Amino acid sequence: MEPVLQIRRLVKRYNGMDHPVLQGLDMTINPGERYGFLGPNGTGKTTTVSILSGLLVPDSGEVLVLGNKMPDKRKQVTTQIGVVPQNIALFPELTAWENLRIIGSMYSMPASRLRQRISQLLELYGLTASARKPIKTFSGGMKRSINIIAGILHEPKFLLLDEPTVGIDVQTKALILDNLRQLNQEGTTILYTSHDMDEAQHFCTRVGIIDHGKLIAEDTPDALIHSCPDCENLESVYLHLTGKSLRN
Amino acid sequence: MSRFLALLYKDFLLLLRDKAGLLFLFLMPMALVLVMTGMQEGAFSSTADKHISLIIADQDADTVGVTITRKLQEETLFDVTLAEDAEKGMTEERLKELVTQGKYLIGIYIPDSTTRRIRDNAASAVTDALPKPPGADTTSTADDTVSDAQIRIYIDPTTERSFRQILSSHIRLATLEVEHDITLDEISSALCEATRQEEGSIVLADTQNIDLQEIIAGDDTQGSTFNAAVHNVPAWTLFAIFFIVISFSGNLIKERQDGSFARLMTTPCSYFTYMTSKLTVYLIVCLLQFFLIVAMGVWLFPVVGLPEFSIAGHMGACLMVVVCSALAAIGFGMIISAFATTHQQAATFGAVAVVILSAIGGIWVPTFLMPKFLNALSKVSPLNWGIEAFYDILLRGKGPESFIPECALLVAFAIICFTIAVLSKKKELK
Repeated sequence: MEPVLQIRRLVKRYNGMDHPVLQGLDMTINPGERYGFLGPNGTGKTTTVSILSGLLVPDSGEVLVLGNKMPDKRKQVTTQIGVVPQNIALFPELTAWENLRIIGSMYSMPASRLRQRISQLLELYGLTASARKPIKTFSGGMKRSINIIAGILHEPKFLLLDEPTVGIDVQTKALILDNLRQLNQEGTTILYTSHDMDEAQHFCTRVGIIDHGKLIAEDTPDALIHSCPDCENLESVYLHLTGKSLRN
Repeated sequence: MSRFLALLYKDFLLLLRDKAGLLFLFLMPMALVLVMTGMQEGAFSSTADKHISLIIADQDADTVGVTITRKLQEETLFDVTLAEDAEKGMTEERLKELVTQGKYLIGIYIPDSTTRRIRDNAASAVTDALPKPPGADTTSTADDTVSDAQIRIYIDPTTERSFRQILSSHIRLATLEVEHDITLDEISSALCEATRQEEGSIVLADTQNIDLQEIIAGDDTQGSTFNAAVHNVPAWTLFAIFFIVISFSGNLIKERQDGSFARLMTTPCSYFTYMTSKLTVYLIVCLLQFFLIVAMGVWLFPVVGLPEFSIAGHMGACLMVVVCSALAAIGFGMIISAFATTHQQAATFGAVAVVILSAIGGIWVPTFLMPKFLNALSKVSPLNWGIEAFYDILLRGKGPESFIPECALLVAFAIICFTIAVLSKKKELK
């Protein structure tokens, strides 16, 4: 089966920086995977997600998303992927319903299907009662949930999650991860970035660790733990590979 | 719902939920057009609507005094009070005191025997000019004439210079008329005497051969005459249109900062569709601003005593100028949003830029009242192109060939701004 994502020798440099953020990244994600993309701050996780979603243009290398070359086939890719950005990317003055309706309309979903899907997801996340309230009145967890719903409304084949559970309580986090597992079982491949190693260990089927713009390790969480002497969990593997020095 | 309609719906909702922004977009220009028209009405209106209190002390009580008094009473600019009606035995000193106290803006003192002096001077001049019979005394009589008559005008320092000039020309005209009549009388008498005809048998007719006709230049006789309304309604419409740069650029920056723009760009929505929706919404805002301000000019101005604004027969042409100006303003807003990093930066720069461009563009004060260098500088302001296009339509009554060049300039400005903004967006992607 064709990989959902293929990245070859990807390089990206920002103006004014001494070194490229991505220094020849190679990565492959297969259909049905929940791929954990882990790494210290500033190592290129969000840059990679931005390139995959069409927000940034790479300097060199090849990126194939669902068989389509980015950024040339941006439109074909964006109709099939879902993106949940790190920040709450919603219109604060609009209600949850209005936000979802507008974002859903970008995918040309039939109106009845869109309404049905919004109702279904709001109910799943326990937000039906707040559907007609402006986003700016929501708690952090509620905003996170709507941020995720906006990314999965159109049932994407490939979902990019950039630290989707930052700053939310344990209950909401559990609910979100359960729903993402369900979505994955229904056929959506997931790329998931996080700093929560425990969460990644239990949620992801495969993990890639990036440092200095390159993938330095990639395997299932269990295999990575077993391959590292004296490592009892993914966090200790991660620290073993990336070191304990502070990163920007 | 299509992508474009969904974005349009979103932009309208965001605009409607921003109550302060709505007040800023609609109430501020409406208040400005009312206040500024009221303030400028005095400066632009016919002087006939003003009333300058004036007192005349006519000690002459002869032709000069009577003619000047009559002429000033006929002029509605002045509220004329006769000294004898104000106080018995008015002296020149008392008249001056009344003006100094501010009870009258102007006091005119016509001394005793003013008419007699003019008559004596005219008689001497005619006698000197006519040939003398042989053996007659040829010495000029001019030295024997009494000194020239002097009418004294006392003026309150606050009186506008233009009113003083109007007053002086009225008095000069009246005295010239009297001098002219007296001189003709003296010439008639002298001719009768020289030709040995009966006194009064020769009458020199006072005929006026030159007539003045005032014609407003322009191709269309339907064109309005210049007044505060015909300047301020289009002027503040343009100001309102350009002031949307603050709301427009602020809106773009806010969506960029809160990540909602990036979210939309990760969907199949294109940058073109995103911008077209915003452009459509703000174009509608500009049209609404125009209709509201015009409605004020047409219906509210006459109610509050301001000159009525008339747009009859010019609506299509004016709409074209509004649309071109709106495109220029939106382009300018795009440029500001491309280079400003915060809403505050955009608001400050946008407001200052629009106020300066409107000031030099002839929005606050028409360019013909500006010094030469500012008048020349006004040509670089897009607001000046807009106001000149409106003048062409509303005042000069000209056809499309006159205002299309200004519209073309506005559209060209918009295209340049759009191009720079899009290039800057592409650079951002890299």
